[in-house]
Amino acid sequence: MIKVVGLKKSYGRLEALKSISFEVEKGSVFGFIGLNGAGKTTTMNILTGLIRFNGGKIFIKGKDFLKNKQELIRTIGYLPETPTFYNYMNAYEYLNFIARIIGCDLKKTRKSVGKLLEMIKLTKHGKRRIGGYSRGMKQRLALAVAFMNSPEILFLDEPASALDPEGRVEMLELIESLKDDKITIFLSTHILNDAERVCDKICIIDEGKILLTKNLSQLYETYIQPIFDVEFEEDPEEAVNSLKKLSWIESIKENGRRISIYVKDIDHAKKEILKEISKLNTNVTSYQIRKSTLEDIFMRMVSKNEII
Amino acid sequence: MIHITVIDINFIITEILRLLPFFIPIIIIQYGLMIFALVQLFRNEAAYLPKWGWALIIIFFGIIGPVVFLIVGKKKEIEND
Amino acid sequence: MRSFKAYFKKEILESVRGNKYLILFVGTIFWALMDPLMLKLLPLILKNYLPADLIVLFSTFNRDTAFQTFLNDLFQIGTIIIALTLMGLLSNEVSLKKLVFPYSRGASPAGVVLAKYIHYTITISLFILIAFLTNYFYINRLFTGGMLSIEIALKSSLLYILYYSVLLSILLYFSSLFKRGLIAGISVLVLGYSLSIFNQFETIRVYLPNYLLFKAADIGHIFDNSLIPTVIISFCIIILLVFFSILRMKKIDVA
Repeated sequence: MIKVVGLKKSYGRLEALKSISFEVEKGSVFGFIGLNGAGKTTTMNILTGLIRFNGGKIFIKGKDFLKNKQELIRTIGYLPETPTFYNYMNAYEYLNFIARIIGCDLKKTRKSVGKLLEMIKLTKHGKRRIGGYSRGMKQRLALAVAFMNSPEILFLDEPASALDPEGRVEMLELIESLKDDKITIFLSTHILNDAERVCDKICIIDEGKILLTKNLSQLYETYIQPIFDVEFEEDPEEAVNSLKKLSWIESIKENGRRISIYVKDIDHAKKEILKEISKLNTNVTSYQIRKSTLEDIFMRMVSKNEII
Repeated sequence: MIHITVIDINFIITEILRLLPFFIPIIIIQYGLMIFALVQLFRNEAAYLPKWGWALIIIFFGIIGPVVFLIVGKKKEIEND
Repeated sequence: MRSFKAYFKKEILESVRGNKYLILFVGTIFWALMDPLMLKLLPLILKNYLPADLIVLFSTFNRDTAFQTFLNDLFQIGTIIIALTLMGLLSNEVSLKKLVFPYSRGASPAGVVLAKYIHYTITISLFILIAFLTNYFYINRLFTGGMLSIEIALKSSLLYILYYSVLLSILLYFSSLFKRGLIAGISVLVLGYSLSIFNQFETIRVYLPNYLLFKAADIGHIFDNSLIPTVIISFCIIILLVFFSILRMKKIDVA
């Protein structure tokens, strides 16, 4: 559905995207994950045709994006992170305005504008000027705009960031239901729990480079690696140093009196780790084996000190 | 060198009375716009100056005051996010 | 065409709710009403304070000179009001990221630019026409003498309309070029005023749009052959600048 090859973008001297490549399959939810400033929004702005890029190729539905932009863009819906409207319009007027641009049948539109407003629960406020809307209301209106004319590909940039917890759950349910409708979704987020719940494929981007692109199931298989969380009574500096010397321990993350131990061989570690800890001359207050989550994988990928 | 005669004053007064109807549209535009600008000022936020400052400009700067306020002083919904 | 219609309606809504019609209307019509009255009243008011020979100077105003005074004031003040009201025409859309949704839903830059240009050209043309007719009516009631006729007033208004169409295309292009509307507005003002200086040089003035203003005040010979190059150049400027604005809006990053 979407194929990106060697995409580059720089703002002056700053390289925002350093030749990124990935592919999104039809009907899947593609999770684009990264810290703020990693290049998520830049990538989405390029893929929706809003900004130019400096190099690389983009194919959407097998067609060169640059050459067929006007045609391809009609099959795309975009929900930007901070949506902007003509604030002197009300929701009805804005949706009708967008409908005119898309070229929807106006009779059909009137019906669907009403339906859209119902869906985003703005029917009551439909005649109020958008300038007076709250951030969450604007976000929901933006969703309606992105949804108009049922696009084949939806780009959602941090869709839940402005929503309250209830709205956030609804958003996730909505994405799941869209998946059933065979709509391809490109979802950027830094909320890893959300990504874990709805995405088929995960792509981690950091400082304009893609660190990994994998199916979620594949990701767990490859990176599934229990983490041993051990908490000591006192500062465990000495303990850490002696544990680090062991060949089967990959790395140790320190967090005060608590340490997380990443290992190379799980079965071996399960047998050995307790023995090793008991050799240390310190008191342990807690010990547990934790299954690694997307967050752990993400943290390991983006923090430069860690070995992948 | 300057002579003011009774005839002169009478002439001036009749001239002004004759011109009076021509002033009506101007007065309507001027005061209509002033009132409109003041209403806008109280309903919306003002930019750059405190509201009383804009009120003085609208009232005392003739036609220019309300126009300047509507162009730069009124924080337009178009621009605030 | 879809984008053109959508943006044309949007500009109407924006002009109503952003008071743009009101400002442009007042900015053009006010001087049409005020100028003749002031010219008539000033000698009366100053009669007691000025020497008689100066008063004579004032009372020599006839319909033609009163009309020329209006033309001059309309140019000086009307230009400021138009430039300041419409300076954000494209720059605001880009810098405030208002085009993200329309562009992401396939709005065509040509439609957007043409809708804006045509909408405001029609608006300003209409207001100029109303202002000229009102001024003509006032002058006829207040002054005598001169050869001003409704035909002359209409011809003159036509040249003003063409001049402001050129100015609007410059404003449109500058507004697409600069991120801040104020820079576009002030550049247009400086350009508009400074080009009038060239009306003193017979050889080059016919190639500059400000010659339209010069001829609009040339009562009795408004339309003559000297205008041909000016009119052709004016239309060329409009077409080129609208075209360049479209190109610019096609290439510009809107997010």
